[in-house]
Amino acid sequence: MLFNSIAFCFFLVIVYALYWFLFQKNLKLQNILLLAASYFFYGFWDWRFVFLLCLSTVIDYAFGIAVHKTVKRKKFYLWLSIINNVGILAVFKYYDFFAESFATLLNHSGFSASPILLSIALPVGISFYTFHGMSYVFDIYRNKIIPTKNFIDYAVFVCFFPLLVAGPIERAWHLLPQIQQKRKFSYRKSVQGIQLMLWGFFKKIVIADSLSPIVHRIFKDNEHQPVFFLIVGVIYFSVQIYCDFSGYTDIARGTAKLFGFELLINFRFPYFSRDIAEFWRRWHISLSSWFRDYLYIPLGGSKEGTFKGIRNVVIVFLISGFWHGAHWTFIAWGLLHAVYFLPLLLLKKNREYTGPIALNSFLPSFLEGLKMLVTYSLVCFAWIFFRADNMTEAFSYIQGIFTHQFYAPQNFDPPMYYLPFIIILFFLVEWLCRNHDIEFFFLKFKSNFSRYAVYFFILFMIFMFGSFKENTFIYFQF
Amino acid sequence: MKKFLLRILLFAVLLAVCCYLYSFLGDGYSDEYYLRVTTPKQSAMIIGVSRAAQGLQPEALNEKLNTVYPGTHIYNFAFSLGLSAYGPVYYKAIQQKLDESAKNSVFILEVTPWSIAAAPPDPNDTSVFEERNRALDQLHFFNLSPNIEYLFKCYANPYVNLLLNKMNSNPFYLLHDDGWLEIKAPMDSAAIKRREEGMIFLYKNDFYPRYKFSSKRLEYLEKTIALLKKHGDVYMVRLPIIPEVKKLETEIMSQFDDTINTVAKKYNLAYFNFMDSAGMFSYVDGVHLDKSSGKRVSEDIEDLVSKHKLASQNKAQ
Repeated sequence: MLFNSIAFCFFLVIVYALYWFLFQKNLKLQNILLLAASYFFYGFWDWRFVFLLCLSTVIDYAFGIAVHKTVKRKKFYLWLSIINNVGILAVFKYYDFFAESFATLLNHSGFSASPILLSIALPVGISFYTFHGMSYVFDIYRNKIIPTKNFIDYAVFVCFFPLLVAGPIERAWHLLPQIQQKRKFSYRKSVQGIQLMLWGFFKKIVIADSLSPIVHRIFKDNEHQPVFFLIVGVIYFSVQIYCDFSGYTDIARGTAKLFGFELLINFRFPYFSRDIAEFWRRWHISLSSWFRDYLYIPLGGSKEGTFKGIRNVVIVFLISGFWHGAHWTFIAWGLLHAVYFLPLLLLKKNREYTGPIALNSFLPSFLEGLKMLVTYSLVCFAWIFFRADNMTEAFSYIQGIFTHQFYAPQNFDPPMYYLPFIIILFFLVEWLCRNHDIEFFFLKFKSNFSRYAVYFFILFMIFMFGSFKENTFIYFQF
Repeated sequence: MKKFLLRILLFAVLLAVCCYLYSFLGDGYSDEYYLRVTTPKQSAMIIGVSRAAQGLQPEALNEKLNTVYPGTHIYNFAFSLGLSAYGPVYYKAIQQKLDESAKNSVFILEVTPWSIAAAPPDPNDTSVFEERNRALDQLHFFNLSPNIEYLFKCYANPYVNLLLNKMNSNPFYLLHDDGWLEIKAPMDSAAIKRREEGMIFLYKNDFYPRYKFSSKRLEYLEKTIALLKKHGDVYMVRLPIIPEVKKLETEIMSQFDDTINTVAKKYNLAYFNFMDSAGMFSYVDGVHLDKSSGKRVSEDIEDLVSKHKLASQNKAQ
């Protein structure tokens, strides 16, 4: 089920009403309702994969208990859990890629091979819920948490519907206590939830979905596009993917707030980053911190010498790229970010920007602005690989930027021309909130009248400029 | 909680009212189809794909038709190949648009090889026809003004276009109140040539390799004829096109005219084929008649229909 669908509106109203009116006094029933709703939400897309989700949940729950109960075989059960989750990913997400790549390699080596492909549809959200499960067992292994005795609570943690298909990737220490605690209706929290949802829908429906066909056309037809539109294409994609994914996160966080939950923040205005290290502290935070905690640090981080530090960074970015999908383009994207990141690590400047941006002034300093621009350009360059269907398309696009004529008029639909104004307005709002959350923007409007005027303006923008085709979210494919 | 829900509800109601009021902006500039699903049920109709939608002008047809079919206001209910090829979807739409009380009326059915052909996997599997899950298939209301259902489910553009298109001083098209789609494209020879090349490319590389004759579509053409015959006279028309596309049509369905003649005989109706006089007309893009040629063809059809009607009346007397 998509957030931007009529089905979700009805679903949300029904679950919300049952949750607060019928089951308000019984935490157990509230959690059972959330679990049933989550399975329904997931099964609405393809009910067959609900079984896979259930299986993964049961296995990780059992491994969590096993890791906690044993003293001698802790590592063994942890590895079993990792093998189980990675195994699920390997079969459903990566098998065909490896089979095809291996066959290609054999063919290039003079052998004749045709791969046996599974051709299974990728289960939505598989990379998210397997990571939930793994972090849970890992945290038990590290004695950071103790396993919950209530299976329902654990199952809600794994598949709570707002975050089930595209995150944020939650941690048990953060979400489980909220599931186990009695929730009370909070007017303030509910209003914040609606505000977040509104802002998320604006990002998704008005900006991301309107940019999508333009970006698609430019990338598909890149061989005939002048430099100007190739650059516009990649800038538009950078905005599209940000608005699509952070829009999803905002709607997820907003929905969770309506049910009394706080989810992890996933984005902190990443395009205002002053270097790549800061970008990764602001972009898809729940994934980058997951890799930091469960991969980078266990590998030794940067504390075991320069060579190991470099190796660990490359591994993390490589796997991060591969996590997005079984394509060479994602691997190239991950490696490119590793290349961007390594100089900062070697010069020990990777933690230079952990503080606020332009704290006491409206505009950044010239140097700060320049660093933002350079960082944004590097990120955009890497996005070419991320967006391209294959490496040939990516290289053709890059080649086009350096070899095509600079400008030639093209016939685009009206959104191409009015979207820049909306995007500028959007980034202006983001800039105002750069050291806070988006809720800060709404708090700026003190009187009821002005706040309602803002709500109405956002709704007006969604209605007038939105694309209501129920487009899927980009991160669903991961 | 009451306060929260009440405010949300109020906001939702206010928004719904605003959306409803805004939908009144929908008109012939909104898109190429909207207006056709906002008009009341019709007693006389032009049926077909985009060639009929753009080429047949009810205003030109009505004048003489009124002498043989008194009180007739023929309505152009043709859409496009992707929406209104003969099949269950278009049949349902025609049923919904047709005024069941109509008697002694007139219906003009435009036929082309493409409108009785379909793309694989199976050209006879109606569940995978191209028009499935598109506008006419999604709609339940075809005679509603403003048609909220269409705007909500089928309008492909951002709603700001309802306003922008209205304000556009140089629109590309205008859908008239009688259902005729007037194309206002530049008509200099270079522009026409460019569009012709594009259209030939489309037919050659997209339609021609994919489309195959569909007996199911032919069956629905006959069903449509049978339905409309209960309410008046039905005429079939094949509109002219440039030779390059005609050649492809002959290749894909060499027996097309014979097939249509057989249907015409079976249902005792006239078939007017303009293909032989194709050179006498001019086109927007090689397959759609331009404004003046459309008017001429419409007048020719009007003459042929009148003559045919008078002849059959005389025969009856």
